[in-house]
Amino acid sequence: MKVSENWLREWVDPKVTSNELGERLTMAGLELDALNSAAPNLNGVIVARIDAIEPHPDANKLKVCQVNVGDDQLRQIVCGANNARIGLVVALATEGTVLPGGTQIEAAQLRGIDSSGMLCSSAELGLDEDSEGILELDSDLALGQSLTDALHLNDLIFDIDLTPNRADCLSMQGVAREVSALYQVPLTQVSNAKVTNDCDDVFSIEVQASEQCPRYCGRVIKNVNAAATTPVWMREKLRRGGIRSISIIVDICNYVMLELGQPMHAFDLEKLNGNVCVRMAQANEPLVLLDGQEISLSTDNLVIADARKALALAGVMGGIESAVQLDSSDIFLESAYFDALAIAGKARSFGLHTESSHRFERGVDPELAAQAIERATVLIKEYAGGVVGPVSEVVDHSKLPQAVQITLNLASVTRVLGIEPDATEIKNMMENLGCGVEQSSAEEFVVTPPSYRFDLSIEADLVEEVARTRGYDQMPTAPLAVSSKRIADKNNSEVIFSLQQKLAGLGYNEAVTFSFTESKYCDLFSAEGAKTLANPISSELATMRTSLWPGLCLAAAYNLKRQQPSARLFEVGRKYIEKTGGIEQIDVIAGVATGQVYPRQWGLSSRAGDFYDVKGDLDWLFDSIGMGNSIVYRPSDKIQGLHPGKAVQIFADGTCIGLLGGLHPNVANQLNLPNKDVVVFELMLKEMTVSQPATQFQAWSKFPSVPRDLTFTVDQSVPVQAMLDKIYSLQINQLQNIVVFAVYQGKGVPEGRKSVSLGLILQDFSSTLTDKQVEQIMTNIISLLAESFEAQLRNA
Amino acid sequence: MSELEDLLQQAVTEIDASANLKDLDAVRVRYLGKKGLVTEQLKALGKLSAEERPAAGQRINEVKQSIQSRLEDKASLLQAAAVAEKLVSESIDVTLPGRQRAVGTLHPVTITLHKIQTLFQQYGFEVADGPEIEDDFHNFEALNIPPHHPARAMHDTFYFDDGLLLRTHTSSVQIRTMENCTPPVRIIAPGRVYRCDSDITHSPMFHQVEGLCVDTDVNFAQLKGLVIEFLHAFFENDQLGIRFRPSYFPFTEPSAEVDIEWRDEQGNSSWLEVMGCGMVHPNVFAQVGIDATRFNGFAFGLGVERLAMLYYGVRDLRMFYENDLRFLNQFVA
Repeated sequence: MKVSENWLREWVDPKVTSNELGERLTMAGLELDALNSAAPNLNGVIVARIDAIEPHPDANKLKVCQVNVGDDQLRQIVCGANNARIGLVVALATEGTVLPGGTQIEAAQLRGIDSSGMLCSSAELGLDEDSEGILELDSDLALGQSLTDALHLNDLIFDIDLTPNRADCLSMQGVAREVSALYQVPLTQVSNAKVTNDCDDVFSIEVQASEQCPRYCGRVIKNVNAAATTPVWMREKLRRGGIRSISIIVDICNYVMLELGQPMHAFDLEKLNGNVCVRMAQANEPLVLLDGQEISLSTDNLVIADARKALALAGVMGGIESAVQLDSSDIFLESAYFDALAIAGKARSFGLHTESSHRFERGVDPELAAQAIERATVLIKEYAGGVVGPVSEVVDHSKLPQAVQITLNLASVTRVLGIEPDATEIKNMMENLGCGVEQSSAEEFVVTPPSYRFDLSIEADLVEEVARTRGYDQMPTAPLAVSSKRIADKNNSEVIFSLQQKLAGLGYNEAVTFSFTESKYCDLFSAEGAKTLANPISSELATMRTSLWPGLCLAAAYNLKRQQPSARLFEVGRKYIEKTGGIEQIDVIAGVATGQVYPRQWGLSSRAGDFYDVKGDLDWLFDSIGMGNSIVYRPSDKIQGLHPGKAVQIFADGTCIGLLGGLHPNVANQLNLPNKDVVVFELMLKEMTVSQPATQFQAWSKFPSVPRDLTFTVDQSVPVQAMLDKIYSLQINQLQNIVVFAVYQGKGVPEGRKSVSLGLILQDFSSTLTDKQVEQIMTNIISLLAESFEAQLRNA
Repeated sequence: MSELEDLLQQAVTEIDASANLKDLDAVRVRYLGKKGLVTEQLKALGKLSAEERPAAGQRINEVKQSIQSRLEDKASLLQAAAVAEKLVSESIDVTLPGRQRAVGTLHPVTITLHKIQTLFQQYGFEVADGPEIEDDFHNFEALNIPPHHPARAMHDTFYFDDGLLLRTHTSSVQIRTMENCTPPVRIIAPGRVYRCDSDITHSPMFHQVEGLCVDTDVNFAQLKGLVIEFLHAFFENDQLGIRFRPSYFPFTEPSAEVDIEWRDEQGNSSWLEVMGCGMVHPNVFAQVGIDATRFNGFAFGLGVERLAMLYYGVRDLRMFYENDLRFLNQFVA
């Protein structure tokens, strides 16, 4: 809501500065977004009148004007505007003026003719974004005065960000009421004059939808001059309120809306057939709106129709066919109360948002229609003439919003706000806000809010008014009592945070990527159950992710493209998979690693990270949270998007808790990571936050341990894990640990085979192992591996 | 006796001349060994008369001790020299960088969220959670935002074809929490939220923390007290200017927006909005079956990125989601 300070002060004039007023409004809940000048600096621009015009001898489109600025010397100005004409009062930028756009006005010759200034359009003066022709001023303005003085441009615009509950402040009257209550200064009511009827002409009104339109006022005005010029003062007030001037009748309707808050509409009476009918639209009923948009109505659209068809989308926008034109003579003026629910959402459904719908959706004072139609008629008579008929009103009082009576108990104020208010103070506050107040007991009032305060319907609303009027800053503060209840961490937020810290400790940077991505990226991995937004911002952000990998890989690619030698990223977030029975929103911790494994340095040779680096990171992570012993990696060549020979499923106690693998080269290409070894992982957060049983201390053997190294060759296809599992299957009590300390293929190892070196640690709990015992164990292992994998012991 | 004195003199010379411990030991053996020159002198004592013997014996022992002590002194000198030489040969360039590993970081949103969580946990608030793909009831209807309520226009909502939506605020967790428990309730709900809006100050996805406190005796004064305490703690500045001004949220009444006083680099101070809050609206209690005559409560909501931007001096919201390592690497926790 744009509020001209000059206009506001016509209504209510507290003795405070503009800034103080803005601050007070903000602190009352009418947030001041900006305080702007109503017009730019227009020094040098003065009021002038064109006294003579001759055609330019050398240019068809130019005119040579003799301009009167109130002294005895006419000035010659060359002007190209079509609307330049003798007698027109205009804005003249004199020599030396710098216009808001930066243009400096100098004496010049235009096609050989001297011109000592420029006649300006409102766009050139920075008063409008665009305009046709030069600005036309009222003919009674004193010539030679500055335009700033003539148009009272020394004004500030309060741009107020109104919350939806304060529709009552969507007018000058509303803001003025608020200011009056805040400062307790009187409100100057503008003209309440009523028009006496000049004729008895009426046009029949039928309201079929009284639920949606409990009140409809209409009036016929004949013989108006719809082509009359809108007075400059009104155009200026409209402009400062953010509304463009269209024509006198439309301007007056808009002006009354800005002044009082009642949206109005004027029909061309000649275009109406039979009667005006307020009804619900028929299905698919057509209507062409004022902006030219052809819409197809539905049965929940309230329309203003005549006997034949829909003419206007009620409370939103009129139709083009019945609109008042410059040559219209007789008009039908509408001022109605439409129920907010009947209008809500309707403009939006047609891609519209109008001043009228904005107000009706939030609530217009149901008692305002009659006052507004009188006010508009006064203005029409004054500026467009006309013969005025009586107001016809169709009203169903039972359908109008009923005044509510709210019981306000002082104890409630104390309970909610922690203050102990004085009964008189509360009464005064409510009355200042326009409420009817009756004291029902020492502690209790019955409060009847005014018809324009839709937002006051229950006691809590009045409690807020008490706080608001006193000022939130005047409300006390108090400590919150300590609760002895233990804080449970049901969502494991602390455990998750420690996982995040651990991954950061392993050298990963935490990323946050969008939860939606492009469907083609989802398809690279498992796109099953992908859910797509109906109204995405763009197709790149349209599909809810079914994996965190696309976002992480794209982030890695983004960084590699910016000269980073590596990218190791992780993210904690959700993936979304639709299944029969609902959407699973699964928390995961996922990561990507590509590029150099260490920063470049003198003491370690640089190398590209690979699968085993990330697997080692995960091993460390599992060990660090006590899961290490239950983890099993199972090779899988079926994980979509991953390299079939470099991927595993991760199991903990038989449950699959995650995936790890290298990206499939085709997928890496699609994710802008060509020719890169890219390793990704994903772990189910739920499984990672299972609380592990408390550690139970275990004693260690007091006897010395015996290390033995064995090196075998096996076929290269034999997984080392299978060899280890086989050894463990012997269930040798003395076997404490096996370390794989070398895997080798090449010189000295037959083609197709690999050499695997195992370091075994043997130790007994009850005695020192004898050489004989150790040799027996070794023999058992060697013969089992030979039998199972054709493993051959290499001579060391 | 002069032979003995010569012997001492000779031993001293040889000790002084020893360049290493091995040479020194040879000297020891030559003089003090079983067949050493001084040992021989002792053995020769028997040839002397009983009168001469004590004096001669004493002198030989003196010489022996003298050599012994000189040997020891020289040995420790040589040992010290050997250690010094070893130290010199082992010295390294300690100014070379240590072996480097990549330093990882937490996302500034995570750090900020954790800071917020930790503070509220101190005030007795539990962390609660809810779905991001929500239904209309929990995101709007139960929060006193019926269909076509103008407040819905303030939430540019992402919808799915089946009528579900992406939650526009974490306030939906209020409802889910109150549906499932009885007061007293003290929760905070951090998480991702979504609005159909994207520019330098708006992201289609961002993070919020919702807070809710319901009890038999909760009031606006306590809400103010808690919010002030939190903001002072968060910004580590007990002098931070804070103001509450009336605002509107359908699910609270009274409602307030909270501004903090902020100074830019030029030292100009202005008020910046950081939080919304208010007393739980009776209609919300009615939706979740809590008796509003027995209980009341307050709720608050804050934008995590907003706080992080202020705290870290980040100007462009979009940087939080670009995941540029030049950005991420700055936030060492």
